[in-house]
Amino acid sequence: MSLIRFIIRRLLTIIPTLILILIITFFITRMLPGDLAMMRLHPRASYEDYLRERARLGLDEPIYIQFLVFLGDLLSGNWGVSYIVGRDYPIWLLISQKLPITLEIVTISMILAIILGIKLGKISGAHKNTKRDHTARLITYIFVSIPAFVLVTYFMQLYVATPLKILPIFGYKTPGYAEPPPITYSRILNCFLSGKWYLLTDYLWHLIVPVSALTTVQLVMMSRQLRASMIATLEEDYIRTAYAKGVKKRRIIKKHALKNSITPVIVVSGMGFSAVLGGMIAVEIIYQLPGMGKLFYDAIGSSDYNVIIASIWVFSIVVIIFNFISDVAIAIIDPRIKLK
Amino acid sequence: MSHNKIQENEQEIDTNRQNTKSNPKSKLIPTISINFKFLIFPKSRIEPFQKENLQYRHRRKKSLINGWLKSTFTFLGILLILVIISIAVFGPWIAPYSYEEATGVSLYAWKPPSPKHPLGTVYAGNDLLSRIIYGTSYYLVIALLSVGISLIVGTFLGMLADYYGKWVDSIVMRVMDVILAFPGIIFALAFLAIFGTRFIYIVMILGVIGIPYYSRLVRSSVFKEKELDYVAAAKVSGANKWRIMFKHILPNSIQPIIISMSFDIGRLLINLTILGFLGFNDARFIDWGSDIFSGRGHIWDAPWATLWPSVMILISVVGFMIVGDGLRDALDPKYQHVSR
Repeated sequence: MSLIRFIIRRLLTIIPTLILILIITFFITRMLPGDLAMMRLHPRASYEDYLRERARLGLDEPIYIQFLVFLGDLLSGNWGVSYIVGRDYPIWLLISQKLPITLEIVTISMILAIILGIKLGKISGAHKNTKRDHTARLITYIFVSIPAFVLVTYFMQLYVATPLKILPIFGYKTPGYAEPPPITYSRILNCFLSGKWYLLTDYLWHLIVPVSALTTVQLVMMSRQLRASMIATLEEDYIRTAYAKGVKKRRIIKKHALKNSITPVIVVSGMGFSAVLGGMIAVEIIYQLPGMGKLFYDAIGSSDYNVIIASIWVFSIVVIIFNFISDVAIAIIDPRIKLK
Repeated sequence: MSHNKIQENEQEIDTNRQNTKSNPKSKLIPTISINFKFLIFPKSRIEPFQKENLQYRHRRKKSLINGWLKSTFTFLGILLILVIISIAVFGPWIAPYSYEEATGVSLYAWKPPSPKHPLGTVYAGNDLLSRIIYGTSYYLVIALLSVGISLIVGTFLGMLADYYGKWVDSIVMRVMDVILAFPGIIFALAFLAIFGTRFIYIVMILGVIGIPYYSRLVRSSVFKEKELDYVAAAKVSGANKWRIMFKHILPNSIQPIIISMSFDIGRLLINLTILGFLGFNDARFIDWGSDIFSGRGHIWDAPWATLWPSVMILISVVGFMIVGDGLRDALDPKYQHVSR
């Protein structure tokens, strides 16, 4: 019962954040360099044409009406047309094609990173200051300092020019393979549900390199955080009592210490998600994946403002949803949070 | 008999006092040092009982810090940081080529390491070693300035939020959530795309992105400190809010800030690299990220071009992370038991 109340409370706190994000996005649209009306006119337009274009775009109206129009457009999905990047393609369709790829890679990376990071951190934290711990810490120190795109660059070369040659170096599907029927918005689920297994395996095979690069960086962050919180948890009195009672060490770690030290890990994973989205942009550019990151980068490079604004909005919503899910996960794992 | 003994004792005490009085120099230096030390270290003017307590705490802290210094990992970390800082400070004296030669165009593109160019050359023919050395100072200056901005503004906002009660707290925390909702690099990319990539803007936007970390830390610290007795005592003696915050609460909440500062510099260096890789660096300065970008197509015929900037980033971030871990083990009371 209190879980539902917690969820409702969290949703209520998201709303002011969303409103503030809307206001900030609106101000970004109005602060972008370049006159909106001038950009859409041909070079020989006259002053009357300019005035007419301004009236048509709604730039003459008071700022609150402009804000309301912007709000209506943004929330109803009418995000305009992409002039430069997509060659007059409606942005909603553009993003709905590119977002699934990015989201799938990022989701798989985060889930793998949390699972594997917890495993690595458990080794490190449970046997602290032993050889296992020092090895694990050395690995974490090295991999936390390398940005994901550097890893991708070296991975790519490793698999390309050596006799290994088993992993593809760019793209997300072999050219010539058809797209699966658009049943759901997710490509993996589309392939899965339509029974075309070869598409699914091909897609996953192409995704191995970016996912592994992103996972590695996040994994070591999770493991560092878990090690820190496990060291703090293992000094608590109830663990000492369990030892005194004669419970085996493995069972103590699995049943008592892990569950109590996972909370900071999930909190850190929220911030790690933002970092992964940032690193994803560089990875997409190297690996030529047609995802949100590459779209955003191309839009920034060619000053396609509608796409920039829509991408910022989509990214913020994704981060907010992920933080919400992680908060609910914390509430489920640690019941004390629900009651606060 | 006992009366004689008492007299003997008194005589002993008298002779002791006479001894010390006849020998004023033995009292002079302690007197001067205690009285002048008070000006610098306010804790010096203390009673003997507290003095022993303080000495015990000093000894314990010293032993911890000594133990921390002697452990291999943190010693390595401190060494790395000193190396990086000395490269940054003494750069122009160490580098074999001047700054103009390191950023200009020359004929020797992609040359392998030779006695003339110890690490090889890059795309425009500049010596890689001098580029790395000059890039170090640029990165460190940006990192320190941005962390300074985040620290000062974040601490201020955190204390403000917590001490003034519910409404201010909610507003400040909502604004922090908004800043956190935009993935960091994406916010920076959008901002730099709008306003151009100048040094000041990079520092500002990276500083603004880092504010929520510090404000959350300070807020949780102040939460705990507010309940303690010395704050009530200060309030009763008539201190106003700002004095309590800055003079009493802040010195006790500095520990997590210092620890977080170390990790934050590492995170900032990686963000700077990603921004440089994507092309958003100030064109007047040398950037490791842009070096990696320009060298990324030539990994098999010029591996040094991407290798050495990546190694430099690795070294810098690893150094800061190790020192951050070591600081946390030495200063955080939850980890006081960790002995190496």
